[in-house]
Formats: sequence, structure tokens, C-alpha cells
Amino acid sequence: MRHYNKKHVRMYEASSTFICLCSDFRCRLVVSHIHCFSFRCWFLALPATILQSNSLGGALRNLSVHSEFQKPIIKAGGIAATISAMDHHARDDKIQTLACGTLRNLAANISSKSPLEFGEKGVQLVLSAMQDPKCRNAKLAAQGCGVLRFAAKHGDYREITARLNGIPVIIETMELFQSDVAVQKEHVKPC
Amino acid sequence: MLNLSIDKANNATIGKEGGISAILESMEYHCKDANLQSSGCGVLWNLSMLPDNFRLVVQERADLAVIGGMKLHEQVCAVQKKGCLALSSLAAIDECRAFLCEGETMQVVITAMQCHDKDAQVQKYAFKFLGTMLTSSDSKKVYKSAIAKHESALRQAMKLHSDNADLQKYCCKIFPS
Repeated sequence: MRHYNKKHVRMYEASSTFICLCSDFRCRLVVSHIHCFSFRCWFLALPATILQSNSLGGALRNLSVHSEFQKPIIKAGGIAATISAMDHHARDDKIQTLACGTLRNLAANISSKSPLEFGEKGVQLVLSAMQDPKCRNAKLAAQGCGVLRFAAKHGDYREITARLNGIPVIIETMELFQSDVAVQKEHVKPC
Repeated sequence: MLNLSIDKANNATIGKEGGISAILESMEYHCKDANLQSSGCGVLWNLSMLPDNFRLVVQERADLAVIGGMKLHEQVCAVQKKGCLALSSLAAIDECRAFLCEGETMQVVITAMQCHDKDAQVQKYAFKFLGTMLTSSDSKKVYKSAIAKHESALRQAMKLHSDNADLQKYCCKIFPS
């Protein structure tokens, strides 16, 4: 609550939606908000329509880019909530893309020595989304590959990805989106 | 793919599932992207160390992709470093060594050394590659004369990085005296 100004407060008061605050990542009110509410409630109680691109999923993805928000998001159960949202809305490409983006951003800043809470289920859901013809698009492919790339910093996740037949899925995605440089970079770039 | 290829067990699967050709196609398609070229060379370096992948690496002509990337991005240190590293592991494959004796490989490596003379890693991996090329009699013939032609430049690089033990170790394979 330290670094917000009157403009932020007005934004907060005037807006009934979370996204207005989240669009300005400097607003620390969001952090206090994260502590007050449970992400699980937000993600699961709200109908899929509210979770669409411009709403909560987008907000969480935007927040997860910034290192200052990553710890609170993880602490508040953001990873588990994101994985649950993926599970509950398996055929919704927008939710899958946003969720993969969130997981990617969070995984990017977790060191290889710290535990990653995706679990086998998280990897499975990402792979399923990447394979689902209804969800298949370059954005999801890039985000999904990003999740797998950062997860593969961890030895156990390299093993899980291989065991869940992730390698052929990754290669297929690479071939399918050959012209998309973002997808290709997520495949070959080091962490 | 780069991170997955850290595990040797995954390298065989990546090769078997067409990962090498996917990487090469990606490098060819995005040849102007220096980041992708250096990362691609990094993955090829990992994959070409596994004997199971030797046949595929030769068949798909991974050497051409690496040389192509290095030629296009002469001034990008990361591409030259990873390129030399990939070449050093390709040079350990008998069939690949024959390809590396042809064409402009030697010139590309020398250019990398000249453009990035202050970068110890570029020099180290270039020396590693040259040393590997001298391990078989066929490639030795070709490379020995090429090395003789550039001896003064190579010795200068050796002197410039006299504090780098790994680099000196590779240099000793080229200049035993």
C-alpha cells in the first residue's frame, strides 16, 4: 500500500472490476487485494464468460509478468487456481492461452532449486491444450511451449514432460507454427 | 527443447521424433534471427553428442545450418560461440568430418576468431573444433595446411588468452610444441 497515488485510489473506487487496477501494474493496491481474496474463489466461482480475455485471466497474466507480484500470486495459490481454471475450461482457447501465459511467467522466475508446483497435472493440461484442435493457435503454442521450457529447468519436470509424451507434442507444435518466430524461440531458447 | 535436451534420455527421443529436422527447418526459416540461430546451435550441440543421433545429424546436414547461421551473423558473438561449439561436436562424427573438410568451414571459423578475438569462449570453442578436426588422418591433411596458413593469428589468440586453461589445453592439441 506504499506507492499508490490519488489517481490509483480513484481508479479503484470508480471501477467495480479488477482489471482496471491490474492494467496499471504499479498500483500496489492490487497486491493488497491479492492478499485479501482467494484466487481460487475468483477463478472457480466466476462463470467462464467473466474469465474471458479482458477479465480476470488477463489481469492475472499481466500481473504475473512483474516480479513484485509473482510471490504474492504464488503464495495466494495462483498456480493451483490457474491449473484448476485450465481443467474446468478445457475447451476454451482464451482461458487456456491466458492460463498458459500466467504459468509461463510464474515459472520463468522460479529458480531451478526451488520447487515448482505445477505437478504432473499441470504439465498434462498444458500438453492437452497444445494438442486440442479447438485451442490450437500460435499464441497458445508459444505460451504452452514457454511453460514447458521454464518447467524443464527442473530435472523432475524434464522427466515428467518426456513421460507424458511431451516431446512429440513439442516437435509437432514447432513444425505446425514454423513461421511464428515467438513459438520457435520458446522451443530453443535457454532459460 | 534446449532444456529437455539436457537429459541424455530425452535426446534420443527428440532425435527419433524428428526434433533435429524441426530445429534445422526453424533455423533455415528464421535465418535472419540471430537469437534463434545461436539457440538452435546450442540445441544441435546437445543433440549431436548422442551416438543415436549421429546418423540423423549427418543425413539432415546439420553442419550446413550451423555454417549458414555463422556466415549470416558474423558480428554476433553468441552465434559464433554456439556455432563453434556445435561444430566441435559435429567434428567428432566421422561422416560429418568429411563434410567439414569441404567448403568454407575453416574460413568461417577463422573469421569468427578474428571478429571476436577478445572473447575467450569463441576462441576456446574454435580451438576445440580445430583440435577435433586434427584427430583423424583425412581431415588432418586438409586442416593442417589451413592451420599453417593462419598460424600467426592462431598463436596470437593463444597468447591473448594465456590465462584460460581450457583454451590452452585445446591449443596444445593444435600446436603440441
